[in-house]
Amino acid sequence: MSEWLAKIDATLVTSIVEALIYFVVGLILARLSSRGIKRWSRHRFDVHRQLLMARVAAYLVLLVFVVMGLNAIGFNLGVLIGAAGILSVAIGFASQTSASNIISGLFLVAERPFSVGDLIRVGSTTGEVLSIDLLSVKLRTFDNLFVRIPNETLIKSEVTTLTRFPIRRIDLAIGVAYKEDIKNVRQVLEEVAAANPLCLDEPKPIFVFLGFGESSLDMQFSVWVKRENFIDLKNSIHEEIKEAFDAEGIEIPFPHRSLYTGSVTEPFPIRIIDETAQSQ
Amino acid sequence: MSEITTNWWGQFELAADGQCLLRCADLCLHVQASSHQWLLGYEWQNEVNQFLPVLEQVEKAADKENQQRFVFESLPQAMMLQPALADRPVVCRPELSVTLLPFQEVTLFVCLPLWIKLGTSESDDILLDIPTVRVCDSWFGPNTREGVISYASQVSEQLDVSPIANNRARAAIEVRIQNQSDQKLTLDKISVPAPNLNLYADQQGQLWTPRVTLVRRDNEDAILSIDEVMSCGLAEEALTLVCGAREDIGRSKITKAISALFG
Repeated sequence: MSEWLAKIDATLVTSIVEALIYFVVGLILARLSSRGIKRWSRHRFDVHRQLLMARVAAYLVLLVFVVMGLNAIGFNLGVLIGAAGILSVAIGFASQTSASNIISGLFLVAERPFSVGDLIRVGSTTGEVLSIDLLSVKLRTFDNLFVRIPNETLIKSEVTTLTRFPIRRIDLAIGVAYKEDIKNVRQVLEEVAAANPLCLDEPKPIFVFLGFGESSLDMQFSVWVKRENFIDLKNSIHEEIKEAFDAEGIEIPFPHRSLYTGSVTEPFPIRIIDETAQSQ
Repeated sequence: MSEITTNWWGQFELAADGQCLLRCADLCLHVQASSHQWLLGYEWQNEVNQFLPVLEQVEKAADKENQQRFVFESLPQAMMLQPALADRPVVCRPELSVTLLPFQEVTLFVCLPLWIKLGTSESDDILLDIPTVRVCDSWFGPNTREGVISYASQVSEQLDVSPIANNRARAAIEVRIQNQSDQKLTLDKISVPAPNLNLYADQQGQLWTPRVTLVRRDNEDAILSIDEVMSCGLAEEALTLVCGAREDIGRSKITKAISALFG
């Protein structure tokens, strides 16, 4: 045991301890700088920029202390930098996906199609952006699931930011019976929109007659709403339209099927049964 | 036996088990005190339009649509009622769009809906800050990307102050519009910066704000200024400040794109 201990170079141990101290101090300072920048930028920048600045500061501080630690061990940084070139080629081949995600992440940060806190829809996933990281974007869906989407996927696919603009439009597909007066239906819909306080009076609601459907006159009624009230209006306006149609006697039809056996065949034979006579 | 008062803002004593009812415009606000709590109930009644707000002590009131309960360690001695202006700009629309010829000016009188702030005599915290009419959201801007969420005023503007001067459930404001360009100015709607205005009351209880001037200088921009003078040229000494502006405009004049001030 003593022979083994004698073999250990005391200088090496000291330098390793020194490097460890550098590393630990670096970690603490990185965390402190990250917190400090977050606090400083809280009222100056949005959440996305706060997060980005805090991360860049933390990584820079940590990098400086790691380099100092390596220097303390006696690591030749010149060799390290030289090796980095060769290493990066090797890493590039070995981790193409990760590299692609990192580069995609840089594009996402630069292009800023969305920020932390925004609601986005990617494919069939809709959720709130929790963080935009080096490799992926983390979302929280409305049913409280955590979804990780690789940055590369986001760059390649269609991303819809739902919270980009302060107002949104709700398109309501409405069908009424063929007997109804379209002008009257339009007026009733406009009155419903005017009576709902969540429905913006400007931009004005849009009425579009879509055409003669299979069982109904198809129309689209589009109303504008403040982004935050989207769900509330979507719920309330459907209810109010149904109530108004019922009050006005406007029929909302369900699909009708007329059975026709062709011009050559006879009509379906119908026999009317007198229920009272049958019961006797 | 109920006691009715038309001096409806300020500090009012509210004993434990006391109840009072405020009616202002469409709003019916009920405050009920009991041991360690206040129960606040309110609703907007479409068929009621109380031009003269009244505050009365009642023994019992029907349940209201919206209710909130506030609990206290010790029951406040009194409640504070304060009229205020909207927390967003209010968009006013003439019944028919108005065209102003080059180098002409016009003065319009507009009724702004009031908000009610309710607090306690012991603290500055506001328990309730609600409009006295069921306000409708609106959007004021050149397109659906740029603009400001506002409220739509259900009352159209007037060229004379007399039709609006007797409505004590609303605040009257004079809006002076100057067209200093060589182009015609068509006004479909104007945005009144309600959050930036102080609210004053005259001796009759009518509420007023300072005059606002909108100047169109050229085809690109316009200037909005909140003037030093009161609407209708009323003397400031004869008025009492009842509520300060919600937001400080920062400076007396702001220059904006025409589309941001005129519709």
